[in-house]
Amino acid sequence: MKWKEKAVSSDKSPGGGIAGGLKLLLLISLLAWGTWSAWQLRQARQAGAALRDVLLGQWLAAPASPAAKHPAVLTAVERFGAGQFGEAGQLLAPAADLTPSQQDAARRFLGRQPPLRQRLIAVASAAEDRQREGGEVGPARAALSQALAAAAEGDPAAVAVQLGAAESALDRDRVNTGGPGWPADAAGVAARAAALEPAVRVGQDLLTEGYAAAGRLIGRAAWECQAQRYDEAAALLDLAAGLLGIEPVPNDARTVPAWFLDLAQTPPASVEAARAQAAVELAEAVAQAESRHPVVESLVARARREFDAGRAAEADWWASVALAAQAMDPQAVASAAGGEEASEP
Amino acid sequence: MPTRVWVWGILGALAGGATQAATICYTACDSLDGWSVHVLADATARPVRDPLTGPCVQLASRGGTVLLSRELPLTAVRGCRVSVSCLVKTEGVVQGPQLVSAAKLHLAVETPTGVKHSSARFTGTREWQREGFTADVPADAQRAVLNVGLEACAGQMRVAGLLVRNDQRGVRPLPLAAVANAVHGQLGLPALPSGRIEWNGIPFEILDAARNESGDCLRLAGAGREDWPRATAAPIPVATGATAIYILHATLGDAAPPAGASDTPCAIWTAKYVGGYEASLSVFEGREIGRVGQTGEDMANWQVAWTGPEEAGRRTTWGVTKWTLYNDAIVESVSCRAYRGSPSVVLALTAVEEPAQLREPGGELLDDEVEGEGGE
Repeated sequence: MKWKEKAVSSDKSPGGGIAGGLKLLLLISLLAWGTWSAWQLRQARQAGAALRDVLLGQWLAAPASPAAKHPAVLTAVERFGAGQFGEAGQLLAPAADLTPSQQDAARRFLGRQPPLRQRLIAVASAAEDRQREGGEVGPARAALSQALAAAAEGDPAAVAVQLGAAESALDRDRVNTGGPGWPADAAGVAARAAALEPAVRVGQDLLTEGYAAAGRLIGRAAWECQAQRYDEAAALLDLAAGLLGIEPVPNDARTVPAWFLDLAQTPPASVEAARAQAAVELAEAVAQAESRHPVVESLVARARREFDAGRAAEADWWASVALAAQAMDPQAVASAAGGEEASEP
Repeated sequence: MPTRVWVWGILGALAGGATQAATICYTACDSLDGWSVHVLADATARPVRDPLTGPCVQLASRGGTVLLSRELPLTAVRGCRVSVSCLVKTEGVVQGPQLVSAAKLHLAVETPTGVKHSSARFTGTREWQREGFTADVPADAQRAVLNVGLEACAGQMRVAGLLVRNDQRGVRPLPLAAVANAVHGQLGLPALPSGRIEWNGIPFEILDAARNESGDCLRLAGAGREDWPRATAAPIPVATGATAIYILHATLGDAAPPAGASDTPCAIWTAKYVGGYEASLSVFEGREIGRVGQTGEDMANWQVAWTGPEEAGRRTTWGVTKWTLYNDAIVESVSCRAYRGSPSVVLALTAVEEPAQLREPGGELLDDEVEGEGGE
């Protein structure tokens, strides 16, 4: 009966009526604010998607357009469309020289984040090498500046995003497949896979030497695609096309084909640093002696960058692909690394 | 008979369950028959005639891929050391993106643990040379694919005389059906071995007249049988290397056989090698061949392999002559012609190829040697 008494008491109190009205008003306000926010978010996402479509259209029409030259812009718009406004803002913010205090803040932050620090150093080093070779490093440097700015703000997620953009910029600058400038989304991956299908069939049917390395890139691309990391999948497929000497021709594929997804290969979970180091050094030595082709150089550079960034498993994987592209027997690789015998899957 | 048919004969025999073979595959490359041709982008493959080699296959690419491919029979390569060689000429071959993006002879072996590659790769311009490599094929091989051509590179390549051998002893009965010209009954022979018989580990396949319109044996003219054919109607295809050819045969005749060996051969066998070289065997009565109704005694190079039931006080005997060959090249064909003496009847021929001396690539290049770049 206690609850009944309380209810009666509440109904009859004048102060309780005012409080109830305020609560109702607050609830209505919250609902209105929530609806307004959801509508705004929806509008923002639609705007992001529309902007992305416009940029993609420009990219498709003119592969040499500014959008194509600055993949960070497209990445930012994709983040924007996904509602990740902070990351988009970081990507799009103008690069500005850091003040001394910001530089100190960035240095302190990176000192507390060794993986990010290693990764930043690796990308900066790769950009310098690329510049010495006469390559275009503007987009990569812009992304690096943004990464430093994010470090000064103490935002590890933003730093990682910017470093990823810088790495992608370096890879894309190095490998020009001469294709029709497909976007780095699901449709772009589908188009790339369709363009590669005849070469994949020949590689699998004939067990060609050239498919040994390219097949691993394609398998990894399929795995990235399954995880909906389309930009990485697209970059991997571009590298595979480069290794196979394929000039992608336009096609109507819009859906990622099942045969491609079936090729998915899971990357190694962990590798000892010593093994990765040996593999990377061997890949570099062989590349210096045997090959100066940009695609192979890109693989070797990626392996070095991954190792310098402290990602041993990734470094080992990229080095093994680079070595396969240079006709190195997997057993030789394994013995150089002092590890277990490896073989092409 | 065109070489391409011979090649498939060899492969067919191997696929049929034979477990031995020294020569696994030989083709003069006078056509694309027997190959599966795979082309990516701007590349072509077509048979042409070269002033030096005669028939060959020309492959050309502008940065694309053109590969001639065929599967090798697993029974002939599993657990074996295999040599692949070919006459190769290249012109302006520019390496593509990978080190392996070049003109090549390539053997890929798929095993449960991965794919093992062996190849000889070529870039630039080079005149005709025999190129190749050797590869050890694991016993657990699941596929063995032979590829020849240009992979992801630019340039032109010509190939001829492709040869794949293993390190096993090869024993191969030769097809006599096309040259058979008599049924034993016509010759007054009451009995004949039938089907497959074996002598000292050498198999002989005797034709069945019921299944072969032209008969079950080859007869050649001689004394008292001057109207019989004087030579084989066509060359008997061999298309393999051979260290010896074993002939199951005997002479017919009413006259008494000569005491000891005769002064002149009753028949002459000729082997024609790829490249035009020839080798011969003169068959002398009393030494390389005995008479059908003889007592069954062995001679210097004619050992009795089969004796039929006694009829009218006589036995039918057939013996084997070993014809040793000393050239390592591929025997294109053999043929026989009558000379002087008794008429002879041939029941079967079998080529035996002892394991070749498989040499590692390298060293001074001779015409029949194997050399190449790359490797496993």
